[in-house]
Amino acid sequence: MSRRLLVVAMALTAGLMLMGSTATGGTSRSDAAQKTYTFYLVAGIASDSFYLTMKKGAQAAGKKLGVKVVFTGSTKAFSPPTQIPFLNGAIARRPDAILIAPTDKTALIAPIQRAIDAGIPVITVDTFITKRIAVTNVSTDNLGGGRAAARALVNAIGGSGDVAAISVNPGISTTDQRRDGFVAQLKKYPRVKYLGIQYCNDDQTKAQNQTAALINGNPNLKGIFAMNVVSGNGVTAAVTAAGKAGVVKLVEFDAGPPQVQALKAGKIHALIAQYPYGIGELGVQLAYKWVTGKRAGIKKHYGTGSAVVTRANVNSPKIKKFLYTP
Amino acid sequence: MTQAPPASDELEPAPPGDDATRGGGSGRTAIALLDRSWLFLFLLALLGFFWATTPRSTFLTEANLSQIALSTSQVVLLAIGLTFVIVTGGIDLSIGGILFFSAVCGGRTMLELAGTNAQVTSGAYPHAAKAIVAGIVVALLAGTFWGVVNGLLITLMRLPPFIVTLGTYGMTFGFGNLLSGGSYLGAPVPTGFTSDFGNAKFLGVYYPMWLALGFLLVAHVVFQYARFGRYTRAVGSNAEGSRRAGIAVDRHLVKVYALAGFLAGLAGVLDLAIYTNTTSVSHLQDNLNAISAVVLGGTSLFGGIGSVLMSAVGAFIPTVLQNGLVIRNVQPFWQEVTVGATIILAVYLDQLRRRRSAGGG
Repeated sequence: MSRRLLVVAMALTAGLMLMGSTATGGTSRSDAAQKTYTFYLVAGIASDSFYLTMKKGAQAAGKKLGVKVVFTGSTKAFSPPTQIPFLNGAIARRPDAILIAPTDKTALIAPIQRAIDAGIPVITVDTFITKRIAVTNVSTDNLGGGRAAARALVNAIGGSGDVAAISVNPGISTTDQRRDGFVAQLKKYPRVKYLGIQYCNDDQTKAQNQTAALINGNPNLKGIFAMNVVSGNGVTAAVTAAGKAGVVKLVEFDAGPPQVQALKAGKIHALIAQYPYGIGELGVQLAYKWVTGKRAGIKKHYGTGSAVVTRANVNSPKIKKFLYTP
Repeated sequence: MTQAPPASDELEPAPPGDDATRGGGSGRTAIALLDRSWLFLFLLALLGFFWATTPRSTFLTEANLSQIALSTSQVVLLAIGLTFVIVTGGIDLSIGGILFFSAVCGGRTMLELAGTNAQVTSGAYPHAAKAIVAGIVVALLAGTFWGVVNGLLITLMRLPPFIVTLGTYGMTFGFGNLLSGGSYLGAPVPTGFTSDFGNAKFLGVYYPMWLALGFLLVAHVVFQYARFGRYTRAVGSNAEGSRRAGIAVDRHLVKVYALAGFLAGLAGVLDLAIYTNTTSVSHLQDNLNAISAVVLGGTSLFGGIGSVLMSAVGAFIPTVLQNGLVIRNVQPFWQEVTVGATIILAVYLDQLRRRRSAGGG
């Protein structure tokens, strides 16, 4: 009985492994005659519509250029310990270039240096590292996005009142910049009182509880800035449950499908949408230029714009390209 | 002769520490009851503290308390299932993953059946009612399925529950992400599910909390008075004895893990109802939240003793603290320190109480 079980278990495990490897479609050896390039895109967190949209842009650009783009990254957390194994795995496959969204400004310097030492050019996308060793950086101006959020929120609350903010965790370059931009811009409005920031650890239930406390504890609370998708989910749910949808104004970063629908329903006043598709596209194009020897004229940084999406402009074609399509 | 202890175990599976609640006159019972529900008093003290130290009509209002309850409803469901599991001497680390997997299955079913892709993404759900019912059923089945898988792996392969559920923790998140495309669902679930259930109140309490309360009462009665509960405690205090006394221990364990899976599936339904969507990252620590609720409630991690009601009270401690600290404008990093320290304090007080009552006989 137990031996038969053992055999079944082993067969199952082997089957699963096989399934997994075919699902990722292990890189086949390229023909010596025709050089096809392989780039790896290491996401900050692979289970996020932002990076999934970036993947789409990267693969679309890759298709045009004859580059195979392999998407990888942790689905569990946006953190160096979960990301570095995926980067190391990418280095081991010896791709022609690596595009990576570093999950920490400094912790990723040494692992990225290892890739460069192995002769693999690296481009940072979305986030950056403080040492200038990457070929280039393609990212949203998060500082500017934070400032835009402050302007949109102050505008929504009519120029005066209390506002608060909810983010993931401190120490992430993108959300830290959004926070800094937001706080810096808020200082320009003397009639707006900033109640400070809460960190929800990317847990929508925690964000909901914090928002409930903010609403009930501050009768003058007029608006909240949620700095990413998951915090936004919790904030929107709490405001809706409290019967304050549209009364407490919400500005949220990112533009995934649930947020766009909440915007259309009048629960969210504005979304600050980045352009992940464009980041992926441009990242691959620049990497291709680099590996094919056209290195002249590549700048150290490329900013892809962000858009302030409101109910009024959400259906316009100019804005539509900014909405995330995982 | 050697048969005697197991046999008595079957009749009176509760260990000696529990006897205080049963024996003695009314005075003793009252003290025992007070003793037993001390965590409830701790919670009341916490509420009193925040009431006294926050501006009037901020913390202790119907709106705020009902919203705290709303954010606690999912953990209450998870903690109920986990109490049964832990009382058998086991553990279930996979409940957050099961929750996520069930929510993805249920949510996808709802979106598939509610209308065409174009209709759903534009916010119209022509067949909402049918879709919601089917989605709930699918989510509950998915949760129960993983619970049964846990139970079978533990009993058939004779593996420690810690290892099995650590494995299924990863598998459920993995499969869930495969099904959802790695992110959240392509659109929110039908809006009526949120506006009429997830975010709707009845007698001042949100429906998700009513649901959790209903299951809590049933689970409490089952745990204390029904055969299922007696067996659960018996298996936890002496598995071998239970086996000899004629309890089908393996089959019972599968049922207990299936129950935990079912309740995680139900919590997944609430995820969809409250947040209109689900995300994996939100549930990575659900197991720890539920375990701490159960331990705060006085359930022994070694099995045998426990209380479903007290686990639910334990689930409220962190959310009440979190909420109160935000209203008091405590800096976020101090909030984390305070929540951690309070959990240690509460369990320490519980230990003191136990030692005293054990010493006093």
